[in-house]
Amino acid sequence: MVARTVSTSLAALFILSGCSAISQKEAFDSVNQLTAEQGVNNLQWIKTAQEAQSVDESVRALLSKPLTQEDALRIMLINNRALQQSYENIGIAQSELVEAGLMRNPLLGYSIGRSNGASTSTISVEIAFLDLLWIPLRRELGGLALEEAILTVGDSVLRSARDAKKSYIDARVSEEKVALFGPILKSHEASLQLAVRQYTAGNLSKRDMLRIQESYERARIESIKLSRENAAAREALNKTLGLYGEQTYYTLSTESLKRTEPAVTESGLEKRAIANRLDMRSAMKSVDYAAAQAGYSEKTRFVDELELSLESEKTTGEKRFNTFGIKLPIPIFDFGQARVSKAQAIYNQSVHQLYERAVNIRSEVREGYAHLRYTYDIAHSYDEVIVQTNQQILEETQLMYNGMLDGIYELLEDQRRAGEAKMEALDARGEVQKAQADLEYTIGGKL
Amino acid sequence: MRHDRRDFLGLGAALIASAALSPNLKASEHDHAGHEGKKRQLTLVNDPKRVLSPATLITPKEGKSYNPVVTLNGWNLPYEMKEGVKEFHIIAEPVVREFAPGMVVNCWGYNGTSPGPTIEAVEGDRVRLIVSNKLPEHTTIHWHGLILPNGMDGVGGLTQRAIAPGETYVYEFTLRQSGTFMYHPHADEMVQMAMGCMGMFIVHPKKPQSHKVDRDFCFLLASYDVAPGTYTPNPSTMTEFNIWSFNSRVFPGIDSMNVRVGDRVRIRVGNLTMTNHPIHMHGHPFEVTCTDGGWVPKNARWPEVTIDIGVGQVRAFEFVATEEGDWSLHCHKSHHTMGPMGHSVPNMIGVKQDDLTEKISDLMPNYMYMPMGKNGMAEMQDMAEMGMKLPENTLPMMTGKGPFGPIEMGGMFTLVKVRKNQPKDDYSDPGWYSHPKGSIARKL
Ligand SMILES: [Cu+2]
Repeated sequence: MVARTVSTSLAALFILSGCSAISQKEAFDSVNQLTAEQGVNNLQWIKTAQEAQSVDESVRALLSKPLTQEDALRIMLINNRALQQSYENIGIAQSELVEAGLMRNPLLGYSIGRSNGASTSTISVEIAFLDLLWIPLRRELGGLALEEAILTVGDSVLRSARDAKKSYIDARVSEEKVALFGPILKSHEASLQLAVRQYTAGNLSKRDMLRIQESYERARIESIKLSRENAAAREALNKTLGLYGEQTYYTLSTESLKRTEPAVTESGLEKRAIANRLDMRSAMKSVDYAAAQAGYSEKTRFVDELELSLESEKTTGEKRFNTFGIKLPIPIFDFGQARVSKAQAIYNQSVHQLYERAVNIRSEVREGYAHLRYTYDIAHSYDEVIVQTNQQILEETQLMYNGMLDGIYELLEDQRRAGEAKMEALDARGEVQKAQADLEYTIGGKL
Repeated sequence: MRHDRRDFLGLGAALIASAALSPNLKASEHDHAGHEGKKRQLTLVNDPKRVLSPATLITPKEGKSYNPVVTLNGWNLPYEMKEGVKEFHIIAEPVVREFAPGMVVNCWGYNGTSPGPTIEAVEGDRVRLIVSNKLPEHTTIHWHGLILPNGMDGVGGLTQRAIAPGETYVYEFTLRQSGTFMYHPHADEMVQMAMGCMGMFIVHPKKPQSHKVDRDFCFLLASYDVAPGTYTPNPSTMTEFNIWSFNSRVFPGIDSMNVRVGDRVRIRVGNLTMTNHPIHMHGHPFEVTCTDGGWVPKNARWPEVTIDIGVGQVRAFEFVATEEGDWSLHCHKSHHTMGPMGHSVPNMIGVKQDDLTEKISDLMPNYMYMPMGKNGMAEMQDMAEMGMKLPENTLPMMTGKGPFGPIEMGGMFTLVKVRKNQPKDDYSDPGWYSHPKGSIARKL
């Protein structure tokens, strides 16, 4: 009869713990929802071979045309394996949650003894019965842990999105700089050719010719360095996008990099960051978790283990003898106060961590805004003044050349300066875009 | 009564304006609107549109015991008789001078022009020179070469207190000699002369018959450093001038000296630059008859075709115009007959560049690049005529068009035109010489 009762109870526990946990899919959907609020959506969790294949196809389609920043981001979101690894954290947390809802398995014992031809066999079942009391608490903790995991994964998605945007800009800028340097190198080459001819004709000293030759060689080194930077930037992008082999032959879009003016003040941005940043929200969850953990310790401080046991003994020739028992720890040595104060310390720690994070995030917002604002001003100055002024200088030098007031070397030099100004302007525009990507991550949303 | 050019142009009857400019140039009183680019600020004058005409103005002979001198691209200062004293009013002030069409310079000068008007009087005259200073700094006037009381010598600090801005000083003395002299500041003289403060002072002999000529021309040599693309001379320059001028005009903006066959002609040249200028005339040998020290005795003169005029010197030379034609008269330092040029332009003589033209043009797609200097620099003028643009307010290095093609000159260059049928006392330009048949160099 007792055995029947026990088995009924076990069945009930199974049902209790199994049914109420959310699924991994649901958990992943909430990650997607969180990041979508910040402009990053359609995440994909590769779990099967078919899914892997469909991702490959999407990547191929996206790479078949000149790659825009948006498409690069798209590829990163579906194809970056570090991100896939972090998605698995949701799986882990979800599984832990399920586990938390389960009673510890009952212990089943069987012993047999012989004495004087008579044998005694004992069957016993021990159940940690207090689990029935603690399971809701553990499930609460597990739920918090899962929520925290969802937020953390969401944060790493946004972080990766930011990094992908920046890698894309680096790749674009370094590639365009290689192109812009072409005419500069060609101009040095023309200077050198003229100098060699002037030297050969007896119109230029060897020293002056060698000086021009040296400048040309330095320009060539500069051109090599730019190609080296470009190769590195492109590989950084390939890594972020998870590309290899033939996939890496894609071309980058040549649409000009925009320079949008940031708002005049940073007001409101700090608040937005505190409200929206997923790492901030995940830190809040940590506090909740620590609080729940501390409550759990407090409740279980005296008795965290209570075992019920049932023994059924049968000796040959005798009637079956059943005993029903209970095991209870007596809090003589350990009143549980150590566990409780440890939990409280952890809780306090997490509160301070949250506070620290909020202070840091606010500072990052101000810094990021200032950085964007100044970077924008610099880029504006390059675009609107430096580039144009150098162009005007070149035009004036052309007039001077027309009047034989300046020579060909001055003309070519100013042509190179105009080209260098364009390269610097491009760099500055790239910095603006990167500063913007940084700040958007920092405030947790579009500017 | 104050006299400046503005007054005379209004008084038309007093003077006969001769537009004796070369055919493609026009006397220009009000036609400078075209040069008034938005960007340019002519800060030295109240009304930049009033860039005064650099035409040669002829002083009428009537009522004068002497044949008035003709100031090349300039004018002579009228006077008033005040109780037996010839009274001249001189205003030192900032002016805008057109050096040639297409180029104006912020100068300092006298009575609206730089150089200032020529002061003309007769030996024995008592003259009163009333000098008002409208310059932004103090000034004086030194009467270069004249014999006068020491206190009238015009050396700031030494013989007088400098004339502060807004002040008027009077110089008064009797002219004890005749000849060719100059006037210029002797207070911050480096700056004021570099800016164009100067003029000529002609004293005719008491006896009208002595040293008489039919045509009497005068001009000053002045050099300026007006960097390409600018408007104001740099007074700190000592050697690297880029504007070499006759009376602050440069070829082809300089009038020709037009004479009649048989005329005895005198040309008086004063040098207020910082280097010497060997002035050379084609077609006629001449004799130096006068310096700022006085008349050269007849038996001390010798024939020349070039007279080197040292710094701070005046030379007057005379010849009888016997040979018809258009004769060049210029400084013989070849860089002084050029417009502005780059002295550090790389030497491309004999350097092949044509095959690099495309490469260099590709680097500057919006620019008409042309290789220069391989076969010399004459192509410069072709290009200027093809409409190749130059920096603002900058003249081409070589220019001027003659009946046979480009003259390829600039700076200190003009012509003496000798014609059989040039009317007496008429200074107007007779146009290009028409050569008698068979008298022109021919191609073999
Ligand atoms: Cu000279």
